[in-house]
Amino acid sequence: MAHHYVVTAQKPTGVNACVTGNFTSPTDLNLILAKNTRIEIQLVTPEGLRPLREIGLYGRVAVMKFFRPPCQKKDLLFIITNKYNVMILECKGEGENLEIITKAHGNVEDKIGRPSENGIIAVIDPEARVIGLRLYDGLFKIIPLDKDNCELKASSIRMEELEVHDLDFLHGCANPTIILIHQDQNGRHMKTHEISLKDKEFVKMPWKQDNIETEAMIVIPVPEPLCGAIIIGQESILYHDGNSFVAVAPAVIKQSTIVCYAKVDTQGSRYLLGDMAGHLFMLLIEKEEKIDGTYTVKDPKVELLGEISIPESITYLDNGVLFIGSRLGDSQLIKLNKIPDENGSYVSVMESFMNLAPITDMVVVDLEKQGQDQVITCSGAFKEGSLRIIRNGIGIQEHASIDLPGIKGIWALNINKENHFDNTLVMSFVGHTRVLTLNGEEVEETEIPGFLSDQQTFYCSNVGLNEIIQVTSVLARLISLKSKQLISEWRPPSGKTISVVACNNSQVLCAAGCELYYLEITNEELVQKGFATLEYEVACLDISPLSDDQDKVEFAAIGLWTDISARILRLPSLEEVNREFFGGEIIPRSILMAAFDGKCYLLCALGDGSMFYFSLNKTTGQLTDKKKVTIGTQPTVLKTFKTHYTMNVFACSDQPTVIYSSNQKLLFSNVNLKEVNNMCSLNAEAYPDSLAIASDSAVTIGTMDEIQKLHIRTVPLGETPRRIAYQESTQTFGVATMRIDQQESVGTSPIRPSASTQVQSTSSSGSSSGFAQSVNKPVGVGVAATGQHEYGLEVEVHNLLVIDQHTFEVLHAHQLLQSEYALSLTSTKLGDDPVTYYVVGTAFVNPDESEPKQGRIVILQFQDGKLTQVAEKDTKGACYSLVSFNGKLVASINSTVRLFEWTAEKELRLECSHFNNIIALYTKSKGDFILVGDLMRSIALLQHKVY
Amino acid sequence: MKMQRKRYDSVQNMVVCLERLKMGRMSASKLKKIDSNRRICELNVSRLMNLRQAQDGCVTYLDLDGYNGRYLLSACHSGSIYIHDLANDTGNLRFESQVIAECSPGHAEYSSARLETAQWYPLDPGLFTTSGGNSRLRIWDANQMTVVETVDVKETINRHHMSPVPSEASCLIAVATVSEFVYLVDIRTGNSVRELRGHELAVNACAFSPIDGDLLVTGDLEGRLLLWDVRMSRGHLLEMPREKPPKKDFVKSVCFSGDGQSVIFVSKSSKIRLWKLFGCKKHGGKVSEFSGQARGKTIRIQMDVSGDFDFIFIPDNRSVAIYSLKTLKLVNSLDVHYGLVNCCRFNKFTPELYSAGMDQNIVPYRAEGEISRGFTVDLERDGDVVEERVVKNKFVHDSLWNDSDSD
Repeated sequence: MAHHYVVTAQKPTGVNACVTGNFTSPTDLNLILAKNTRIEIQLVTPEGLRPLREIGLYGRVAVMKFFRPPCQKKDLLFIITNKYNVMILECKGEGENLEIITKAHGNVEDKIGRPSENGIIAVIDPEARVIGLRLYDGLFKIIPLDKDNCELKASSIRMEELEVHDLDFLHGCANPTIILIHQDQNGRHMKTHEISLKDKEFVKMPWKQDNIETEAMIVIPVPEPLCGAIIIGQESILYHDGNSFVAVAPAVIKQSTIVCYAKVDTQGSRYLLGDMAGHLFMLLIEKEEKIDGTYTVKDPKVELLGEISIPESITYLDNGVLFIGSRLGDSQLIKLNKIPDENGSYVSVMESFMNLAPITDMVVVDLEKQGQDQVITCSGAFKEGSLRIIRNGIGIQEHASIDLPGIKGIWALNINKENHFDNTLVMSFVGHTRVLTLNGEEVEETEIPGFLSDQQTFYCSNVGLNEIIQVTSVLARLISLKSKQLISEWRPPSGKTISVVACNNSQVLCAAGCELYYLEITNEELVQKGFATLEYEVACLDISPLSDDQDKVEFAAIGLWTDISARILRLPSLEEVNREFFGGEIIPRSILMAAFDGKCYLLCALGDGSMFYFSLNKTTGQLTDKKKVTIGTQPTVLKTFKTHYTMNVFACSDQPTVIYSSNQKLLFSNVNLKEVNNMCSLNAEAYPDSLAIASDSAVTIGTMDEIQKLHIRTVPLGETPRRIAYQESTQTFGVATMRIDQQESVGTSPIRPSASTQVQSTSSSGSSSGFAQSVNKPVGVGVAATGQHEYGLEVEVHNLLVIDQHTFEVLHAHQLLQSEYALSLTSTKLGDDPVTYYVVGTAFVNPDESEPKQGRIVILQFQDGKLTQVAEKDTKGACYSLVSFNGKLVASINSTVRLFEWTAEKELRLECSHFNNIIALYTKSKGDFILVGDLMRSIALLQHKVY
Repeated sequence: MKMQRKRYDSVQNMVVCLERLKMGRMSASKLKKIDSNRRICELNVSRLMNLRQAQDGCVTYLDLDGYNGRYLLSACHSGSIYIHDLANDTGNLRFESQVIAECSPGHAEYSSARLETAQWYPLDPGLFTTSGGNSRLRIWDANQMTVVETVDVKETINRHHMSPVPSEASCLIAVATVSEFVYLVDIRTGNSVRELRGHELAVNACAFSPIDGDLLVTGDLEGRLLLWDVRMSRGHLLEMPREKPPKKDFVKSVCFSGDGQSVIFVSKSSKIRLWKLFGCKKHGGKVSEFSGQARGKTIRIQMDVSGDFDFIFIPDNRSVAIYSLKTLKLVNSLDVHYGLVNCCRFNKFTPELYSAGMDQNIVPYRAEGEISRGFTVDLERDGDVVEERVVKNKFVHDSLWNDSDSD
């Protein structure tokens, strides 16, 4: 039986909730983020946010709130999940010993009861006497917090108000008192209820206000001394304190809907409001003390501060810094400035936190044809809409590049020894060697007097304390760093040319054909200490140290021609300890001993891009656990390098790979480079902790990303991406998007620039087929028909964008008809037609009707940078999905699944249909089978038989 | 400049709702509710679907399998049993559901005793139970159409009901008889395991809760309604509060609301009432009356609730009335039958309703968007855009009385 193994490649990134408080210690200011099933605890420092701990929950966070029990210095975290599990978390310990303790927990689910349509509301009394929950319509649950009980139990209070939109606890009440906004057939009203914790009942209603704004949705209790509440509506803001109220209708808030708020100060005079369009407002409540000690409130003032990510929740940290938790875009750390910038915005973004949510569609494509797939997602919505290119592997961030073709070897040297930075790059070519000096960020060619530059260098490095070694095909030379002059040289006694060489800080191993020489560097001199003749010629060898403190290594590894074997020799005697045959006819090209996480390995790459690796016993030289992997298709060169203080191996080949260890296991990770011939670590002043990578034509200096990371690139669109399809033949992506335009006196105009408004090449369904507009458009469809000239009305405009697969530049935008939504998109060949088409399934949406009555299937061809409509087919309903099926097209249209064939006249013709669905939303095909996913009827498997 | 926006939560369009769902701005349950509510409100006699008429007497009970709502079981007064397959695999929009299994006169297991109840085993459409007319509760193998077990409760059975909540222990069938006892039959042993004593007259109706599989409500000829926990050996849990002095008004039918919080019952006086069991200050719950009546001379009717969606379907004379459980008001009345309607059953998988009664027909009701969009397959298959001439005045019964489609 096949077992499926599921791992999370990317933890949730969308923020459901965020709160600030003193959680880890009374002096620490913490930001807690809830990301679906995970909770991140961050410390707020002057430098920014520092992640402290991340915890996973077995449940999705519905509401998360801080509260502080009386006489406590730290806050406790209350969480309720979507499955009604409740918990109170406390943080204990410091630094490394930080521990999150579940102080109390329980489940507050009712066996019977209707979950409320407006979601879970959880509120905590400001004096931490009780937690209030609204989970089911007509019930209010309370969890008293008086006892140190480790089990949380809720009692229910019957609530007359069925449709509650928001509620919270009022401040400054002798008994816990809630204030709520509820709706009945007459409109929305505000009410308060005082709770008796003893009787677990509502005892009285201190005050109420009927008929507040019909779309009031947020209630903000104002702390002492005011103790009233602010009601935020669609158009107005109301402050009520039980006796009197003040209301304002600021024009700035009408454009969108306010969705969240954050309290700025403890007196409750300033609040931050965020709306659906990503506007940040400041709400000011000014109070005036009267002679009798009571307060009156002046008109609340609202000021637009600037634009932020579309917020889900906002929390104020400190010193004008706030965190915007977003679910539709990247979350942000925002600084509020005293003086507006040139655009009149008081907001500056300090840091942005990547968020993939909501992913509405994606494709998996091997763009570089390297055998490594990438995921391209339609992420975000509205102005935060973007494409995200996600690939697994290691990224090299390129910092500099020098065009130099034909590099055979590359090494970094520290010539001056003034500091520990490398300042020279040595590159060998066929027949000569070049030396480059790194001067700051600049590179210039130079010469070292004692250096042979008219020969190809086989090896070069800093050795001993103050020397450089250079090994060419003829000889090995030792050069003093002080005088830059040659101080010692060694030639093979037999006079043969050196074929391969390996070296470490004090040892040199050279092979000339079958002869193997072992040299040591002692007292600024190269001394031959060993010699052996092997049965066959040496193909590769290595004497890398297996630990940092080791001065001389005990073992050498060599790979031989002819018998295709690897051998371990003891130094200095060069006696054989162990041998291992690889079999086959491909010779080993590179051999390397490396230690990862204290475990030693022998890696040996063959000429065909495959690699064997073994566990190596450091004391006996025994090889065990033979394993084989395929890295590329070309001869591979193995090099070690260090980055972020860990040891890694770089396999230079046509598919460059980084080998590293995690949990005592070797892992192979692709690098986002095309082809690498050779590389070396480079730790220069201007390029610290970098790599110099030589390809066929250039040297690139770059840094390596942290290992084990998904690489996510963002292509901002500025409008909502909905569907994506990849078309290999044209090297493009088709992306169906939606933007919001505003109705003008004549036509519409975009509210903000976005991908579809900035592209040069455009077309539209309306202009290309007048037929479609005049005949197909059902009467009364769309916004246009109901309000043709309603000035300022928001109109959704749907486009099909064609995007280049390499540059992600938008090549073409095809605008659909008015009120026509693109619901499905695929790229396919049809019938015997050799052309690959983009096929779009659409629906005409009239907000007043429940089910679309009309839609289209549009067939488009992308050619010469233009998208042209080839055919269209009317559908009597919304075309929810499209899938190619053996040269035909399967479309799910409302409740039906239909199979179309492509005629020679380039038209879609209905072949057959299936009717047994409520709404067929998804289709997939394989062979003769079609899998249909339904809104209500689960999935069904259909088979298409030709009789 | 005046800005106008659509109200955020009033959107009903399926495409808009689905996009919201994908972006996490609407919950799946809400979407389902919006869609189902609409479909229930738009229910009408199906012009595309037809159930082959085979019934040889008035239909007394309808039941759907709980697995995917594909098989409709119908019981006739004549003792016949029919199973219709409701799935449309014909490839045509217009289709007739066929009888795939039956037990009619001539069948080996046929018994001429009138049938009052025929119910599927809730977990699996391989088993169903029938009763009525005599004292025997019969358990059938649906595949073979054979009786696998007969339980004799020694009293003529009025109604039986099995708990629809899937559980290991849910093998209990409550059997209401002409005696004052309600018998609990365990189908694993085929024995009556307990008698529930509390009524003083014959029990006419019984129903298990769809949420809590141990809660049972029963109603008798006197008009008393009792709530039982079948695990408890001591008497009933609750009795419905009645007006004083109590009027004798026998209970024709009972059923639970979808959330298990209330019981809806119909009495002989044609009154429909809702007994709210929980969440009331007063012990015993609260009884409220619907603003409508369920008329008809039949002594037992079958009504059905729409799962989570707050609607109840009640036979009323020759029609089926749809009431909202929130407002207790009439939403729609489906007036098709020419005889009294005895039973109706709602299919939560397809949003469809079926009703049957004295006129021997089973009528399907659907919200048929296809009709309003104006197309049939036959016309589309011929080629291109041809608007179907929807004959508005055509008598809807036409397609029902014709055995096959003439067009």
